[in-house]
Amino acid sequence: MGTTAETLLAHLPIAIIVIPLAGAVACFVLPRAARALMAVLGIAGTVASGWLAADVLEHGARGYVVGGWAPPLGIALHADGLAAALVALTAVLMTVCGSLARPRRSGDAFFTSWLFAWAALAVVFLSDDAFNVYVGLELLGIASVALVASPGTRPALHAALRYLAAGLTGSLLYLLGAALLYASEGTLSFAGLEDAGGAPAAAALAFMTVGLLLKCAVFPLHGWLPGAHGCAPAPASAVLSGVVVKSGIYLIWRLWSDTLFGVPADAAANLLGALGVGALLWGAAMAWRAERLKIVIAYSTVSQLGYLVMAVPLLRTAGVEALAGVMLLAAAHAFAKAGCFLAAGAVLARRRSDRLETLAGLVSQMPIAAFALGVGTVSLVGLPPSGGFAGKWLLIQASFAVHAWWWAAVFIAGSLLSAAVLIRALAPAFEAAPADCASRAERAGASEWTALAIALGALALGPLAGPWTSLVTEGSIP
Amino acid sequence: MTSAGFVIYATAGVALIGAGAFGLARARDALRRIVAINVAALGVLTTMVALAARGGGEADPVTHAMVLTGLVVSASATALALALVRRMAHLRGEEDADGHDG
Repeated sequence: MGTTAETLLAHLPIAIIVIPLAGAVACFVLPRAARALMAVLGIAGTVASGWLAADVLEHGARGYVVGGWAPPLGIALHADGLAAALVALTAVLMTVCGSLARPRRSGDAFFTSWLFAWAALAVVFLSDDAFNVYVGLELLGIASVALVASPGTRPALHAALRYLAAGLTGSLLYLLGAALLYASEGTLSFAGLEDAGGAPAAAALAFMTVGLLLKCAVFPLHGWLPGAHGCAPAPASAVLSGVVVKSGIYLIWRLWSDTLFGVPADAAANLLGALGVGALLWGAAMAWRAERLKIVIAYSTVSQLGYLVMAVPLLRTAGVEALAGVMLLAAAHAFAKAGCFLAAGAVLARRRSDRLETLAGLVSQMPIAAFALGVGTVSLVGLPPSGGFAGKWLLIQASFAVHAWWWAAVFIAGSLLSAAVLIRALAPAFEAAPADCASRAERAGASEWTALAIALGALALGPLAGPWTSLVTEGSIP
Repeated sequence: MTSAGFVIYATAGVALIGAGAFGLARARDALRRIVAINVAALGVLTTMVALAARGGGEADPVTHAMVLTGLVVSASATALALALVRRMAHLRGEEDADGHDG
C-alpha cells in the first residue's frame, strides 16, 4: 500500500476511459491480435471499474479534472455511486460478451467498434459536462451503428442506416439543448446546473429529453430499435440492449432528478411516466405478434425501457428508494437481456433460423440455451429471487410511500404482460422435436454456457440487492 | 444588447434547422435523408455561433470550441452514413448482376 496505489486510484476515472479507447486504436492497427487484445483489455478494464466501484462504495464519490484544466475550459469527470455502478456493469458485459464475438474476418474493425462503444459509454457515465456527454453520445452512436452493420447483409445495413439517422437527430436535439443551457446558465457542469431554472432552461430540458428519448428508443420513438437489435450479431445485440440504450436513460434520470431543480416540470415528468406506460404496452403487443425469437427479445427491450422511464416521476418524489429500485431493474434487465440474446444467437447459429415454430425440441436438444432463456424470462417477468423482482418490489414500495399507488398497479400489470409474451414465444421449445431431427441433446458450446452464466447474474442480483443499492445511492440525491 | 450579427446568425440557424427538419420529414431516399440531417446540423451549429455572440463584445471561446467539435463529429457521422449507403448500393448492384446472369 502507499503512494503508488493512491496515485493509481486518483487516475482511475480517466483510466477507465483510456483503457478501451487505447484498445480500440490498438485493435485497428493490429487486427490479427484483436481477440487477444480484447481479452487482456477487457480484464484490465473490468478490474479498474470494479476497483472504482469498491472505492466509491467505501469512500464516496470521486472527481477528476482531465489534464489539470479546470472547468469551464477543461472537462471534469465525476464518479458517484450511480456512475460507478453503471461503469462496472458495462465493463462486465462488454468483456464477457466480447469474448464470444466472432467477426466475419479479422480486420473488419469489429473489436475496434466494440471498444470504442465501451469507451464512449464510460465517457457518458463519468462526465460531469453536458457537452462532453454529447461527444460521448455521438461516439457511442457511431460505434453502435458499425456493430449493427457488421454482418454486412442488406437488412443489417438498412437497420444500421435507420439507427444512424435516429441517433444523429437525437444528438442534434441534445446539442441544441446543451447550447441553450450554456448560453443561459454559463456552465455545462451538471453539478453547476442544480438550481437552473427559467424559460431557456425549460426549453433546453425539453430539447435534450426528446433527443435522448429518440436515442434510447422510448415509445413512440422506438421504431429503429427492433431492426437494429434484431439484425446485429448476438453479442452486439446483447450489449446494445443491455447497456447502450441505458446511457440515454441514465442522462434522462440525471436531468430530471439531479439537476435543473428550478424548472417546474412535475406535469412533464408525469407525461414521461405516461410514455413509459405506452412503451410497456406497445412493446408487449409487438412482441406478442413477432415471429422471430430475436425480434421478440428486442420488443421486450422496448417494453422494459418503459419501466425505466416510468420511474422518472417517482425519482422526483420518492428519491433514493426509487433510484435503488430502478437501477436494480436496469441491471437485472441488462443481465437477463444479454443472456437471452446470447442464447438466441446460439440457437440461430445451430439451427440457421430463430423463427418461433422452429424452436420445437429446443429443451431436449439445446438444454443449456433453453435454460438460459428460461432464467432470463424469470428476471424479465420479475419473479423472486431475481433482480427484476427486487427492483420492482422497491419501486412498488416507493410508489406507496408517495401515495402514487397507480404506478404499483402498472408494475404488477407489466409483469403479467411480460410473462404472457415471453411464455408464448418460448412455448414451442417444450414441444417434441420433429421426427426427422435427432432428439438427443447436443453438446453445449461456450456461447450457451456464457449465456446461462450471464442470465444467472440477473438472478444473483436479487440476493445481492443490498450492496448494489448501497453503491448506487452513494453520493446521490437525498 | 443584441447586435445585428446575433440576429442574422440566429435567424439563419433557425431557418436551416427548419429546412433540415422539413427535408428529413419528406425524404424517402437515404442520401437525401443524410443531406437533410447535415443541413439541420449546420443550423444547430450556426445557432450556437449566434449564442456565442449574444452578449455583444468578445465572442465566447467555449461555445466556439463546442461548434468546432460539433463540426468534426458531424463530418465523421456523415462519412459513416455515406459508407453504409455505398455498401448498400454495391450489394444491390451485385444482386442485379446475379439476376441478369440467372
